[in-house]
Amino acid sequence: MSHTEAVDRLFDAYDPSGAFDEVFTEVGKPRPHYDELVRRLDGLGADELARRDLMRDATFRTKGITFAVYGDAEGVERTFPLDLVPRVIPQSEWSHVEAGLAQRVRTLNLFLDDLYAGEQAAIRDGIVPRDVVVSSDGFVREAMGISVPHGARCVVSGIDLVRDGEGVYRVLEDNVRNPSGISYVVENRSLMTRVLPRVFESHEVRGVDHYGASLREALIALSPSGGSPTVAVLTPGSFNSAYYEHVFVARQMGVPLVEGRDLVVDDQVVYLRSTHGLSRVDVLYRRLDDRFLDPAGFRSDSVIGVPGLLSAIRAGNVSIANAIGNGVADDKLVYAYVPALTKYYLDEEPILPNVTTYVLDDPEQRASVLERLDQVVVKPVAGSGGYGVTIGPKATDSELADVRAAIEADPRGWIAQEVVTLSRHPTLIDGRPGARHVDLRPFVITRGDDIEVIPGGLTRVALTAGSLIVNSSQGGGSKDTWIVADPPSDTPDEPIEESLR
Amino acid sequence: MMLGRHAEDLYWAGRYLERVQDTARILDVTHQWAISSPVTGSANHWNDVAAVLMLPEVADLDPSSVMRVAITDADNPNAIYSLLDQARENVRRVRELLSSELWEAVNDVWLSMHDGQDVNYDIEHHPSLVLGGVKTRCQTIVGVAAETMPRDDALCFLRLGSHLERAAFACRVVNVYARPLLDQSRSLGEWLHVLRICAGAEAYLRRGGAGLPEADVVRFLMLDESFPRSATHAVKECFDLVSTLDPSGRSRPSLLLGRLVAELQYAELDEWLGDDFGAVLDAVHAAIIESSDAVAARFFGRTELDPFQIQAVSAGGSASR
Repeated sequence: MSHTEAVDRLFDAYDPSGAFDEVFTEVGKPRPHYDELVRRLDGLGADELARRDLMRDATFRTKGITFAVYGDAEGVERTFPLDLVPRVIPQSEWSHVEAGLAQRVRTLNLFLDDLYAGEQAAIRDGIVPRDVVVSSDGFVREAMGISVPHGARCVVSGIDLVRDGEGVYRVLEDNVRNPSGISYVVENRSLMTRVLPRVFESHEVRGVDHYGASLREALIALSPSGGSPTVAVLTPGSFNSAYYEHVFVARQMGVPLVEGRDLVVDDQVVYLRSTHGLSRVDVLYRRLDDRFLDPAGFRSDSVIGVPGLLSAIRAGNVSIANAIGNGVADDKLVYAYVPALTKYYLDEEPILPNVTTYVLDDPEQRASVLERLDQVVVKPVAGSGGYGVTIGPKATDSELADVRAAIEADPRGWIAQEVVTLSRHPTLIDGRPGARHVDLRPFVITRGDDIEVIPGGLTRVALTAGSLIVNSSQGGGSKDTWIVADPPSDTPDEPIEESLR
Repeated sequence: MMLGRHAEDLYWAGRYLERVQDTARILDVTHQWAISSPVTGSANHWNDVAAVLMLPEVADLDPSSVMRVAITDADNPNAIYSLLDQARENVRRVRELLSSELWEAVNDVWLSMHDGQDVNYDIEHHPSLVLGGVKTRCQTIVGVAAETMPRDDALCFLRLGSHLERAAFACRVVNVYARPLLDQSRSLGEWLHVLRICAGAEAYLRRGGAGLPEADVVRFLMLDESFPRSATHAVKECFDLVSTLDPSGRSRPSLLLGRLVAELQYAELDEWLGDDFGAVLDAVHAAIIESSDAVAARFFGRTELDPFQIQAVSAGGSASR
């Protein structure tokens, strides 16, 4: 037996069973679009990959790409883990997803515009109940009557997708208030092209570098005035968990990064305090929550906002992205109605389905769910970051009792969903590939009347075996996501389109 | 006042180290661009690199060959290896004039390429990590020099070499890359690529400006007075350095550089871009090289003595040749 045969290959012991595996259909059998990757990683071997891992670490540390994990004993900053095994999606599969994402964001823009600056037609026509909308935490009364150029309310959207047991892409969550993660998408890509350039090169991967330019154009398109508008990024400050991204985005676009205290509103016009006096600002990409934007208009205890900003927005002297009041579309209860809204506004069937969702405010659905709490996932309607989620099959009796009580006390505050066994992807754990659950957060930009989907997005990995919580703030990791040209067709194991029906 | 020979060593060390940095940068940026971007026109990337770096005839302009010739080829005097050998030698010869930290920084970049690990493997398999390291170490040298050297003639010659090399590089980059792009409307990404070659992408973006860059990028790389790698900024630095070295202001390098600075500072970009932009760039590049020759003639004790210099020497100057 030759030496090479005696050495075991990287994926020899990898078992893809138990969930939809992104890479392998069975042991040792990669899907056609993963053939090349598996071959190349096998060629590099575990030792060389470990070496590249160290290079990746060093580069990340130098760049200071960090993320604060709340409650982490280690302290405030941790390097955001990037797994060197990328996720690969062929263009034919991606086209479907892309179309679905664009359709979804278009629907959300229309819904929000109808609600805040239109006739609330969707409510009037009974598509979504009025009280669902107005009782939402994200509904902002102060936004009523404020119109947005081109109705571009969701300038940046992060539409979280999962793949279920049959490999069908479903929307898990709409994030249209302040979705973050695009900086990791671009930085991860930059890391991969430096640490594994030949592997990257052997695939024809669609680029993500244009993100900064696209976002900048999208913000300029929002400007209330013509000419050369001044755009700025508004950050809560360096203590914010996503500060790295605020810096990144500002730098990519070449615009100033400001905090609330750098701005002043005079006569309903926003200015920034510069060394040359006051300088007018036309568009703000704000990374603050609505309620902290303006102590005069919202929470009076907000020290990170700008007094008078709301009145400047109302007067049409400054535009902000994303628009005020988007939280109602972020709301997990409104999420359940988005497919119906798609049909209503666009007269189209939704391309990407929801995860099966139960509205617990509805007595029948609530009763049925309470009978099988240990079989479903219960989520708070206004949560984010994966906090407050109870996964029935994994919960203790006491946790289930707590959730039951919470639902009964405030049915409007909770939804339930069928457990989706998220797809899994080989991820390097201590140097060897192990199957871990993944989801996908693609980023969608609304630029005037156009919608652009950034190819790929952030694949998030639950690093703990069996865990379904992928959020970075709870210790998840990430992968680069490659949208590649379709592999030359011999006979694939199963037609990819079929798995999406 | 120092030995003409020492001045020459430092001047060329400055030029070679700047050349190393520019070479590492253009190779790194091009490699990333080539593997990240769509396939169209990718063959041209390496043609362009070969033109800017003035590489000897490379039979096969594929990435591996260009990398090899530009980094490790012993037959290419402008390969990074060759340049580092030469720069280190030059610096070693004048070691007593320099701070020990500066010598160590130069030694460090040389060592990083002779470390015993398989540099060829690294360049083959992850060139950006190698080139990034070289570039950073070169920048460290500049920083160490600025921080640890008194503002004496030695530092002036070192910096004069750097800036002259930088000016010439900017001209070549604009000539090879920007000219073709001007003829057709190209994406922001392609312009950013050109800017990255000169480490100017972020600075350019921060300056703002709406719409497609085109002529604006040319203006930035050739004429901007605050961007340290623009031709104008670099030439102006050279002029100031020569003025420090020869306060009379009447030496030939002073004259040539002074004229070039004026030409650049008062350039009308529209005129430049009018008919034969290539000829304009060639002329600027030639003027920079001519200035370099004039520097050599004036300061390094060459045979072709400038009449002003003869006067100064016979008026009781020092023993320097």
